[in-house]
Amino acid sequence: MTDFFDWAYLYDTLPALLRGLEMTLIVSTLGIALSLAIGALGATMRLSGRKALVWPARAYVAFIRNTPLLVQLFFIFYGLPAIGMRFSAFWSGVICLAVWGGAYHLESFRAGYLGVSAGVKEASGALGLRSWHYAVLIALPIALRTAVPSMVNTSIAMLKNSSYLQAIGLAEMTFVAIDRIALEFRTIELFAAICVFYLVIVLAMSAGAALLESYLQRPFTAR
Amino acid sequence: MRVHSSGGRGRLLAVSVLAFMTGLTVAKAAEPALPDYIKSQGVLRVGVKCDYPPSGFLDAQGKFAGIEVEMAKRIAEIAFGSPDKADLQCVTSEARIPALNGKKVDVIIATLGIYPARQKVIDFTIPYAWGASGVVQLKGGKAKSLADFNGKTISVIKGASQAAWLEKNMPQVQTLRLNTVAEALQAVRQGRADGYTGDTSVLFSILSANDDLEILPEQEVFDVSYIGAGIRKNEPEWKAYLDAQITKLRDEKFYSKAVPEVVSDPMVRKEVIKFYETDPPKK
Amino acid sequence: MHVIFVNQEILAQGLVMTLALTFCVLIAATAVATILAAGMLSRSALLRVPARILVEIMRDIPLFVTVMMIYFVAPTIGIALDPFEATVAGLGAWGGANGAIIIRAGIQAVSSGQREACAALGLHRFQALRLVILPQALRPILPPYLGLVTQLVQATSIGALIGVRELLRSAQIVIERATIMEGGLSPFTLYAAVLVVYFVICFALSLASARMEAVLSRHEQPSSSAKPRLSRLRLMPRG
Repeated sequence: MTDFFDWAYLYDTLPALLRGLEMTLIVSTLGIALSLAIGALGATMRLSGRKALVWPARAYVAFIRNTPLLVQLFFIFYGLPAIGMRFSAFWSGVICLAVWGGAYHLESFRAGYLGVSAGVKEASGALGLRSWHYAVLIALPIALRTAVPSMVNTSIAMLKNSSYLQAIGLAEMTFVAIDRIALEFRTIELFAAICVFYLVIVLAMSAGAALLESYLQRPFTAR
Repeated sequence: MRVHSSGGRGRLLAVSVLAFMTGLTVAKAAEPALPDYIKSQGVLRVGVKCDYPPSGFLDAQGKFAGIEVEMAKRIAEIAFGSPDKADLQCVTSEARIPALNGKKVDVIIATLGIYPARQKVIDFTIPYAWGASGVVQLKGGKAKSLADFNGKTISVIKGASQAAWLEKNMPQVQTLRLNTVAEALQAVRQGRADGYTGDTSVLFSILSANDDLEILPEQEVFDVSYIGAGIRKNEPEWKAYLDAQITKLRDEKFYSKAVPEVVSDPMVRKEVIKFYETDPPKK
Repeated sequence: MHVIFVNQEILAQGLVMTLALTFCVLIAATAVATILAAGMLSRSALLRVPARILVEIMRDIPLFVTVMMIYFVAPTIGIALDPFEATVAGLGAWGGANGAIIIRAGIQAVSSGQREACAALGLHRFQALRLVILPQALRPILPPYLGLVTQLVQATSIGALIGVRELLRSAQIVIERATIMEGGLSPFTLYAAVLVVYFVICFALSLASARMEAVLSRHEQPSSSAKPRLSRLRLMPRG
C-alpha cells in the first residue's frame, strides 16, 4: 500500500479484468436475448384474453418485480437443485437474468401493443385483415417502436445486474475485482477500472439505443 | 508450502514457530498494560465471523457463538472485568481487513492466517492456533490424493488461503470460488465441484455432521499456516497486550474448556483442541 | 417448514434489520434526491452540470459495485463505514439519483403557465415553488416514488453481501450453521421463504403505488400523446 494509485498494478491486472469483462458481455448478451423471447411469449399470453394464460403471466410479472434479483439468484442456484433442477453457475446466471428481464420486457411489449390506437385496428378490419394479420403485420411493428425505450432500459439494467452473478462464483468482471481485493487489497485501482468499464458499456448501449430509435422513428418524421 | 514470496516464507515460518514456542514457555513476565485509547472506549471491539462454525457463528437466537467468540469474551473479561464488554461485529472473509483498517474494530479474531501479503497491510499478534487445509469429497469418490484433483474442480471460499495456494501450486486444478461453506459443499453434492477444500478445523465438524462426505488421508493435508489475531499497523502497545493475553489463554488451558462448549462430537472436540493447544506437525 | 420455526428468532431479527435498513435508506435517498433535483433544476450551469453528471454516473454503475466500492474504498481515504452504513450510503446515492429524476420530472410537469401566473402575482420564486408548484408536482411524483421505495426494499438485500445481518444474510447464516454442524438442510425452503417475505412487502407497496396513481390521476384528462420517447427512458429507475 505504498502509492495511492498504482498504474503498474492496474496494468498487470488488466488481462484478468478483460477476461471478466468478456464473461460479463457474454452472460448479459445471452440473458438479454433470452429475456426478449420470454417477454414476447409472456406478452402474447397476457394479451390472449384467456384466463388460463393471462393469470400465469400476471403472477410471473408480479413475483419477479416484487422480489430481489439477488434472492432469485440464490434460489435458482442453491434452491432449485433440491427439486432436481441443476444448472451451472453460468447457466444459472443466464436464466436468472433472462427470467428477471423477461418480466420487464413483457410489460414493455404489452404497453406498446396497447398503445396502438383503436383506429388502426378498425382500419385493418375494414381492409379485411384477419386478427392475426393485424397483430403480426400491423400492431407489432408499431408496438415495437413504442416499446424500444423501456426495453433498452431493461437491457441496460440487466447488464448492470450481471454484477450480482459474482455471488454464485461466476467469474465476471465484478467477481474478478473482488476476488483480487480479497487477496491483494488494492481497492482503488480495481474499482476505478471496473467503474470505467461499466460506464463505457452503459453509455455505448444508450448511444446505440438513440441511433436505433431515430432509425425506427424515420417513417414518422416529416421530410 | 506457503503462498506468496518464497524468500520471506521460510523466515516467516521460523519466526512464527519461535513466537509460538515462546508463547508456550515464557509466561508471566511484566504484564503489558491495556493501551489508553482502548481503555477509554470501555469496550473491546472485535471483528468475528458469523458464518464459520465452530470458530465464529450465530445460533438460532441470533447470538454470537464459537471458539473465537469465547476468546474475545475472555479477553474482554480480563481487560474490562466482564465478558459482556466484548463488542462483537460480524466480518466477512473479504471485509476483515477493511473493517480493521477502517477502525470499526480494534482487533479481528476471525480465522485469519498469517501470510506475507496480509502482513503488508496489517500486523498480527503471536499465533493462537495453527491450521491446515484438507480436501473432502463425496463418499466413494475417486480421489486418493491431492494430485488426483489435477484437471478437476475444487470448491473453495472466496478470499481463503486455499484458493491462492491451489492457484500457485496446482494450477491445473479448477477452483470454484464461493461465499460460504454451505455453498461450497452444495457445489460438491450437486456435482459442480469434485471436492471442497477448507481449514481442517472446519472439515472435522463438517464430517461429523455430514455422513455423505469423506476426507482425504492425513498426509494429503497442505498449506499449514498459523492463525493470529489481526491488528492495525504500528500499534505495538496493543500488540504486546494481546500477545500476553493469548499466551495467558493457552497457559490456563482455556481452549480445553471453550471448545466443548461449542463442539458436541468428542472426536471433533479432540481434533479441534489440537489446533489451539499443540504445535503443528513438522514437515 | 421446521427449519424456519426453529430459527424464527434469528430470521425475525434479520427481517427487522431489513426494515431498519429500508427506513434509513429511504431517508438518505430522499435527502440526496432533493439536493440533486434542486441542482438539476438550478439556473446556474455550475450546479446543473455536476448534478446531472453525478446522477448519470450513479445510475450507470451497478448498484452492487457502488455499495462494495463505498465499503472497501472509504476506509482507505479515512472514512470508516460499517456494513450497515456503507449499504445506506450506496443505496442512498443510487436511490437519490433515481429519486431526483422523478422529482425533476414532477416539477417540470407543472405547466409553465402556472409559473408565469405566479410571477404575475408577484410571488417570489421559492414562494411559488412551495405554494403552487410543489403541491401540484406531488401528484406525478408520489406514485413513481413509491415504486422506487419497492426497489429500495429489494436492494437492501445487497447488504447481505458485505455482512449486514438482514433477512437474506440471516437465512445464509442459518444454512451455513446447519451445513457444518447439523448435517445440512434444504436451502430450497429457506430461500423460498425469504422470497415470499420480500414479495409480501413489495407487492403491498406496488399495490399502494398503483392505487395512489389511480386516485391522484382521477381528474386528469387522458394524455393526448402516449408515445414514450427515448427521453422518457431517463424517467425509469435502473436496477
